[in-house]
Amino acid sequence: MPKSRGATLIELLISLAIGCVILLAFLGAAVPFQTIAWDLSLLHDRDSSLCLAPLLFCKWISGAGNNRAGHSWDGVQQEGDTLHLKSDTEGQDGFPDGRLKESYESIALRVKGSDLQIRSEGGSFQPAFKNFAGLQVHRADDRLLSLTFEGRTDRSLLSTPAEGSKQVAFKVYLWNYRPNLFEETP
Amino acid sequence: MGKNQVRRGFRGFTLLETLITALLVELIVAGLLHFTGHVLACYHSNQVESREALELWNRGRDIRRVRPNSPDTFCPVAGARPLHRFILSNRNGRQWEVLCAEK
Repeated sequence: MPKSRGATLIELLISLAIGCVILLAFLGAAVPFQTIAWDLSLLHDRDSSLCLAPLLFCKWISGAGNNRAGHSWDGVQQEGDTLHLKSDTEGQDGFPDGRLKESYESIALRVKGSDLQIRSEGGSFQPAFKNFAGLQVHRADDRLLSLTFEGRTDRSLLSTPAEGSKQVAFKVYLWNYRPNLFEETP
Repeated sequence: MGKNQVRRGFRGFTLLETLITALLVELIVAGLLHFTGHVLACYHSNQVESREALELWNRGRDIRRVRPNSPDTFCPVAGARPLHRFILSNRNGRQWEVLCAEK
């Protein structure tokens, strides 16, 4: 029998059958992988915003939400779907000057459309984060502010029919809402 | 002999070659699945740690709001009122210190 006799028909048929099985197996593994990768990318975008938002807002709110002694305005005020926070923490000389002109002495938060927006002093609302569905504010008392952010994915997930919304609740302690360690003098 | 030849000179794939190819593809698929599983495990672990950190954060704020008494006190400045200290720790041993003024 010569060495280069070629493949017999039965060998070719078996090879084609196994080749089809291999191709189907590869596609069967690749399609779920692609689905998972797609969904994870969307979830990662959503979760990164939800993780970053509390850090940034704690920094802004804990300063702007304070209400030092002797001020006439409310430190925390909610009007409709907008949260207002005011506190005179700085001035041109480095001390409170009785005005709310410095950065982040007066901020407002709201969710409009799918954007979580923030406004500082007299400026206009600017989007801080995308793909937010809602902002809920709860005050257990004057000192504790509880915020609940609801984030959602940019597009619908492939693996689940849900929109991929997730809520994150975090609390901000307004540490200087009343005189704290030492008695303050305005 | 040679009746079932497809074409003279074209050898085609032998069964052994096909099986070797199948083995290589299986290895690639297994690697892909292993990578996917690892990514999913990382995502799950990240979710758990993120939620746990947020719960600890909120617990710390609740403690400061309620201001319970603790035998472990801390006086930052001489003459100031002592602060009650609480240590919160997660399952990985990471510790958070919560200080709150007395009632």
